[in-house]
Amino acid sequence: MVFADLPTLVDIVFWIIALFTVCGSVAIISVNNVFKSAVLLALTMVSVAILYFLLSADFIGVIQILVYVGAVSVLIAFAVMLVKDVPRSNSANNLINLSIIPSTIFLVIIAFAIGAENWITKTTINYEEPLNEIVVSNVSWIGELLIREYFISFQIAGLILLAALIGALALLRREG
Amino acid sequence: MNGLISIIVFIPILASIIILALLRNDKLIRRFSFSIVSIELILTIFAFSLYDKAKGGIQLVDFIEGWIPIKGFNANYLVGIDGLSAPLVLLSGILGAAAVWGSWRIKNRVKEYFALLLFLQGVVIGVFVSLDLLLFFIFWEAELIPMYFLISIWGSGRAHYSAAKFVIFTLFAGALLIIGILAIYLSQGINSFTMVSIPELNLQGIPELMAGANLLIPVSIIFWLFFISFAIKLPLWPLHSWLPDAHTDAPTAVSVMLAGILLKMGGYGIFRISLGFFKNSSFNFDIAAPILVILGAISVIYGAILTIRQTDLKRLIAFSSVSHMGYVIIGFSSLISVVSINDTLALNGAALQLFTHGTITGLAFLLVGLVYDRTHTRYIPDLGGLTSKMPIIAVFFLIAGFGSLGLPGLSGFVAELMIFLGTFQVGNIFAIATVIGVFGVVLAAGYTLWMIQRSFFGNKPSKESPVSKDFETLSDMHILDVLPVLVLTIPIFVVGIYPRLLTDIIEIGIREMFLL
Amino acid sequence: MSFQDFLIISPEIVISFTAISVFLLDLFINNKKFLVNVSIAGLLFSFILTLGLSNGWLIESPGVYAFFSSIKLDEFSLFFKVLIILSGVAVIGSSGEYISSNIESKGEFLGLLLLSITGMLLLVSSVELITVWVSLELTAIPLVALVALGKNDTSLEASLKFLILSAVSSVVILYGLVFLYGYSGSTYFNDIFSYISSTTSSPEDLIVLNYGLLIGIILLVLGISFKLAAFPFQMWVPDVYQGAPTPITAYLSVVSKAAGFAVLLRIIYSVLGGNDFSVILSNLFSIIAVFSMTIGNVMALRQNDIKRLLAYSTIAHAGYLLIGVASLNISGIGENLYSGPQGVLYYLAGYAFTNLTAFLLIIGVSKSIGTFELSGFAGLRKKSPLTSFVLAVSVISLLGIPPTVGFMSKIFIFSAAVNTNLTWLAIVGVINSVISAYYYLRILKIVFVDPENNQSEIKVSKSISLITLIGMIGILLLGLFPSLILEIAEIAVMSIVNI
Repeated sequence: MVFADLPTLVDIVFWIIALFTVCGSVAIISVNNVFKSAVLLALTMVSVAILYFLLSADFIGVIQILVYVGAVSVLIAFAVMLVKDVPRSNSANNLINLSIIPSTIFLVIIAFAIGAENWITKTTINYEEPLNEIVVSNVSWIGELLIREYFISFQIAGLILLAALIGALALLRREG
Repeated sequence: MNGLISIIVFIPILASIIILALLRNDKLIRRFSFSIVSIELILTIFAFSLYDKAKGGIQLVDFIEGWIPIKGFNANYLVGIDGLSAPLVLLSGILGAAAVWGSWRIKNRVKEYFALLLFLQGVVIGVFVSLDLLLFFIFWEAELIPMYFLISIWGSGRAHYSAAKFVIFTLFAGALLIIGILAIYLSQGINSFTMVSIPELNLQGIPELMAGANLLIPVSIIFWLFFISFAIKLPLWPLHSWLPDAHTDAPTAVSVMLAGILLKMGGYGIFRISLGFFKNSSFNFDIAAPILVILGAISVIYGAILTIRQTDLKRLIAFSSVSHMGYVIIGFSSLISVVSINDTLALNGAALQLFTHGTITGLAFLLVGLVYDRTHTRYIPDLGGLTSKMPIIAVFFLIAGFGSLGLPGLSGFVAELMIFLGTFQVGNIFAIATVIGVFGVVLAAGYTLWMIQRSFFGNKPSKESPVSKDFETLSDMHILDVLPVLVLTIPIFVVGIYPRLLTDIIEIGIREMFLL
Repeated sequence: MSFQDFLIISPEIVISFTAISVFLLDLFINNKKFLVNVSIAGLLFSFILTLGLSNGWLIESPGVYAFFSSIKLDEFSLFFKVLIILSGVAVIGSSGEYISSNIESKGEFLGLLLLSITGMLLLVSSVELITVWVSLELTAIPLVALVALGKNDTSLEASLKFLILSAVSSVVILYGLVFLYGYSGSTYFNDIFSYISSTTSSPEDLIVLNYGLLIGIILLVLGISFKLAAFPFQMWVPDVYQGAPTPITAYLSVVSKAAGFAVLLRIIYSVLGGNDFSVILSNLFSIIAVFSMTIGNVMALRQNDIKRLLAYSTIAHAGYLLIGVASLNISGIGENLYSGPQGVLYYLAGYAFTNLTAFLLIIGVSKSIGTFELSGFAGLRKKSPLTSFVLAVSVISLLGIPPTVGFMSKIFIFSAAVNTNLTWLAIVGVINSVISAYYYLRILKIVFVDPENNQSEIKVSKSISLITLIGMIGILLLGLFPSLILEIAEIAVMSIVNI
């Protein structure tokens, strides 16, 4: 049980970053200026990446920063700058007050589920040939998983990208 | 495997497919349909006469085991007739013939009309002869398609509204029915759809199995599910409101079918299932029977009072049906006192009433149709003095009227007398209800005679009436109308004079229902 | 990964390659009719491969795993593969004319549709959480583009709605998967099953020990309800059905729904098996079923657009199907066929025939009359008797009156419910089907009773006539001889049950 022990440095960093992530996410949807939202989004992505680092998932963390902060957020920022009325974007609709009730219920249920004490902390998967070195390098491990256990998912992901690309092109042609 | 009953069921259905798919010429379609129903009439008479009263039981059985051959779903194809269904099959043959013969005037969409009418006849006979609950239910529901189209396409007035109302009421009845059927079928110790025991085929029916069954839901709930379903179809007060609309707006032949045999599906179900299944189960009729008899009596009086107030000929006859079907329930409720064969008088009468009401009311609707074809109105105050122009129609109308009010010598009298005598003997509330029922007969005499007097006798229509203009040109019955009218009139006399023709066979059916 | 692994997914490989070749051929070939033929040929070839897989021509017998147990080829997945491929053939085969006149990007349209079909095929055979999720995405993303490809103005809006709700449901599913993985330590169905079996011995255990798993399953079910077009993710259905090109609407209403139910059944019977989860889940499904049926039927009453009306009707039908899912009777499987899942499979097969027939006819007729308004169908009987007859049969089947397959489906579903002590649910179901009579009868009335109000001539293309005729024969044949499907359905269900 982690919480009973004295907090280590990692724990303290985790809580600070976690708080930042949550507040950042709330801020994204509550500010009215789209540009500010985009910047906050990038910052939140960075904090999520830090969470990955804390979990020793270095590779995913790097990818997170590269893709979401480096590419997606910049793209969003560009798109926002092309829009004329940046400060006066749509605010949330009237249902926002009503939605508090279900979301609170959901939060409570989820909190209980997360707080339950029997999360599996060790992997119980029995690989056909166990990996020799346990997580020496994230990258090679992920790479091996992708072309072994998750080969089929990897291929399907390729098809998804193809579909997304073609779909976007078809939509562009429809517009033009 | 005898095949006769299956042929009777499937000839009209096949004929309707042939009409839809192959025949083009209206004249040919009409002749084809006429001959099909004639064959059907002969076949039903033949089947009726083949029934061996000395042997009893289910006869002319056709059995194909495992029609849905899946583990645990023992639905068979099982048809046959017994003392209860034989008269109703005969009735369906007669009314189907009358309805189709009487439809020679139809000019609009002939092909679909006759196809649907024949299909309707086939599936309704299917309801009466199927001895497997699932098959019974399939025929029960299949009747909706032709009825919906027949009323909404060829009907008058608010035809679509009435047709939809009819379908939704019947579907609701079907919904209750299927829940009841499934609850019985899935109960421990039953697991069978067979409605009657047939020793020759080693089939144990639900009536036999009910006694030892461990039912899924309380037996009284199942009983009322079934009963309400049949009461909607019968119809019994307070579930009757679809009937006047459907009758009024339906074309003549469909009214004939509706009053003549479709209502009898409810009556048949009450005997076959509410009586057959539950008499030997743990269901306690001590509470149910008084409720039934009260509902029956209310139906009789309520129907009769509403009938008096009607000004539309068809609506008037429709409401009188509610009143007459009330007698069936009054007679049915006497099942509470049945301990020996001698006690089934009222039940026999109730089953006979199904037959007699079918022919009498069928005849009445047919004649109203003839009058309407000539005068183009059914509004009674607009009519009057029709006897001088259409004496033959008037004579037959009198026969139908007298049959309906229970004149001795006509079939209605026999059935009602049996019901009253039998039920009165039960005593207490049943006797009171019977007295109320008898009062209903007095009312029936009133409204029938008053209606005939206003429309056929008395003064000629007044100047304001739309009929008065062409009054002199009104013609009497066409030669082609004689056949359908006669085919309905003959049974009224025959059964009135010699009721044993039917009562003997009905008695066998009822007796077996009680396993006496 | 052996050669057999690739053999097992050969139908999917063939279809995805067909999709890619359609994309490429589109660049060089002007005759777009050819592309339709290529797509159909690909589908038919993969259908033959599927038959080969089921008959032991290609592999010894069904019931084998592939790709490190991510994919399982069993009778259950074969059942759905056949259903999905044939529905795909029907949709593409009958929409040749529609595509050539209504769709700008014809090659993309066909290719994306094929990719989505590939996703469906993978979805019904995946037995691993990540594969399930990725396949779900592969079914959804092409559909987002496909919905937007229609020419009318509403299709973009519909596509946006579809995209957002699809993303939300994906996230909900992913969240559920996280809980499943976190509490069981595995993403493989069989491992999760053995974990649950080893830790759960009573319902109390379930609440205390496996609360997180329960939440995971519930989130998963709610997310999948998007695919099923069931409550609580049903609100996209009417707008998207109305805005999407009609062949896509037909595809969504049949194939997407079938695949969703396949995942649902597989998760219930493979992951949870005979555990006590079923009691809680049965309640969950009952609630979803009641809401779906009631919302669908009540909202359909006032619709005047036939696509919208049928959209609400599919929500209602998802509700009926969920009655069959709620009738969990693990111990009864194999002994009596009136247990729920067989009924669901039969229902889905019948529904595929019925709904495809209805939608394809609407494609054909609306092309001539130029509207989807119900009133436009007035006098159809006079203009095209055969078309209106086939339409009537499919509407009667939707309503559930014999001798059609819709009637028998309802009988099996309701008997499953009564058999598992859910009589109240069966009663709600039958009352709902009485309500539905009102709007189905309205269609019949407009087609058969109302006088015609426009002079347009009805010309239904040959391919649509042929396919809908086959559909009508299927509706009647399956209605009269339900054992044709039910026996296969039984074997299929047996192949996914973990006890």
